[in-house]
Amino acid sequence: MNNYVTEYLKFVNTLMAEYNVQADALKLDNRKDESNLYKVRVNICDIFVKMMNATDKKVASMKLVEEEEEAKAFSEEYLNWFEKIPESWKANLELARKHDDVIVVQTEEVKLETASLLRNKYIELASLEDHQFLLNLNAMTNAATGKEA
Amino acid sequence: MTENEAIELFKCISDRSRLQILKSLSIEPMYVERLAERLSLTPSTISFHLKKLESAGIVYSQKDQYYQMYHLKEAVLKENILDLIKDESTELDQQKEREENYAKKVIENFFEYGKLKNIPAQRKKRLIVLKEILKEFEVGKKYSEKEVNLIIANFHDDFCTLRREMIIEKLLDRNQTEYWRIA
Repeated sequence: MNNYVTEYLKFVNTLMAEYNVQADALKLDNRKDESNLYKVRVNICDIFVKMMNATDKKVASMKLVEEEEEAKAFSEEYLNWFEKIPESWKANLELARKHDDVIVVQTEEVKLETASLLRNKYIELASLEDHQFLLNLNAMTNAATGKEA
Repeated sequence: MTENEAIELFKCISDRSRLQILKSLSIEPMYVERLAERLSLTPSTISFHLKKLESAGIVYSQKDQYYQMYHLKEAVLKENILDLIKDESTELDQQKEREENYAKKVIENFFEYGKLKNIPAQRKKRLIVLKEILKEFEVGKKYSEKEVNLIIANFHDDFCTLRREMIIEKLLDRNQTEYWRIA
């Protein structure tokens, strides 16, 4: 496994541990709803860790020879999950905003924020290993969403 | 206040953040950002809690110039706890309340923002859903089939099944050209 993948997994695991500590502290402080929102964050991290394993299997089945090619395929496949999975969350968020349902808005925002945090961290770590295509990919996505690179 | 309403009330206020919001509102009505600043919570977290407090009937909001101000419903909070726990309702009342709560849960599960997500397979639940749609029909008014379809289609695309079910369950009746509400 590449260094950045190990680093990324380390980051996600640390984040999950921190979120769990926050969730437990809030629960002990009788703030159950806020604690649950940290549990939501933990679940989102867990989903994207599981997607790493799924991506690994998929890329392995491609039987690519070059290491660089494999790394590129891995990143492309993995980052694809950050487009696909949050689609329904975005739709729910839009619907909830339309109906002024602040409880659903908050939950969907937390899910999207967490996914975005993980995606950015992955790109940051992978880019350090000179995967120029990732920087291009990020720039393209940002241009499409109107964010600054 | 019913037993269930009392449970909802106690559940809602057994949260430190919500209790702190209530304490702040007991000083004076406040808007979201002011509460957020006072309690060091994000505005979205405050809105989340205020929504729950509003649903439990403890606070209400009112537009005041540029701000949506939140107020305490003092009458609810001034109620004696002993009065709340003295449940003098009969077995019949309690049964009725249980049925109403069940219907409320079914409606919450099957409807999302006024749209029917899917038609329940279980007859008991389907009947609750049909009765909810029936509320859109006026008693004594005659409707053409097209009008019936349009009303039901506002809830779900499969208006044919729902219309047929409403006839089978004797909620609607019809002749050659018109439909009308029975119940």
